[in-house]
Amino acid sequence: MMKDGRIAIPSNGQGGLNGTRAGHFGHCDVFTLIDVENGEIKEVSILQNQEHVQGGCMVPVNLLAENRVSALVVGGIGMRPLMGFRQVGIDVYHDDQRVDIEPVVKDLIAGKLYEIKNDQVCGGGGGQM
Amino acid sequence: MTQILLISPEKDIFKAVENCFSENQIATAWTDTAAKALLMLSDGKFDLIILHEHLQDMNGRQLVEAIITQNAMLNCVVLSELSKEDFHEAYEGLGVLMQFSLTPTHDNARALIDYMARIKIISNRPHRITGDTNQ
Repeated sequence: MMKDGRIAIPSNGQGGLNGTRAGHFGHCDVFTLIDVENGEIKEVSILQNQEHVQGGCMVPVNLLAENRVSALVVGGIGMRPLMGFRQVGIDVYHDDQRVDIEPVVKDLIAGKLYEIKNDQVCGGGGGQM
Repeated sequence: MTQILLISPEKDIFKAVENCFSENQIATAWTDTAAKALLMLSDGKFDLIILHEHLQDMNGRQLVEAIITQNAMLNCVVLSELSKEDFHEAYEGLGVLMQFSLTPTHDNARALIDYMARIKIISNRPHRITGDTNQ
C-alpha cells in the first residue's frame, strides 16, 4: 500500500483524475500528478509534458524527478527510461489494461499494482493499453 | 567541457569526428574494448559515448545495455552498418541517440552537436503545473 508520495500518470488531453491514460509516456500530452497522504488522495495537478525527440527519453525522467514524483504507472516502457526512472528514485508500475486514470490510481494506492520487471521492457518507450 | 568516450577496435576511424569535436571545444578519449570502456565510465566524467557495434568482448546492444544499467543518463551513438529498419529493430528501447556509419564524418559530428543542443534546450524549458480542472 502507498501511504505518502506523488504519483504520475501519462495522460491524454488535459489529464485529470477523470481523464484517460496515454499509451506512450514520452509522447503524452500531460502528466496527471496525484499527491497521496496517509493513503488518501490529497491533491491532483497537471504537469505539461516536454517535447519528445528520438533518443531524448531522459527528458521525461528528469521532468518527473524535478517535480518530486515517486511513482509512475505505464502500459509499457523501454529499458533505458526504466533504468533512468529507477536511478532517480521513481518506482515504475505496470497496468496495460485500463484507460481510465482513477481506478489505476486507486489500485496503486491500495498496493494492487506490480512494479515493472526488467524482462517486461519493450521497444520505443511505448505500450498498448 | 563536454567529454565524449569513443570506443572502437581501431582509433583511426574517428579522425574526422575528432577534428569536428576539437573545433567545438569538446574533449574526446578513446578505448578499444567494452570492459575498458565500462571501467572508464565508472568515474562519471563522460557526457556521451560513441561506440562501434563490433567490439572484441561485446556487441553494440550488449554494451549499450551495460552502459545504461550503470548510468541511464548517458547518451549513446552507435557506429553500425545495419539498415535504418534493422538498426531500429536491434536497438529499440535503448534510447540510442543516433546511428553513424562505420567511418563517421565531420558532418555526422556536426549533426550530433546540434542535436545535443536541441535536447538540452528542451530539458531546460520551464515546467508548467496547473490544477485539475476536471474534478
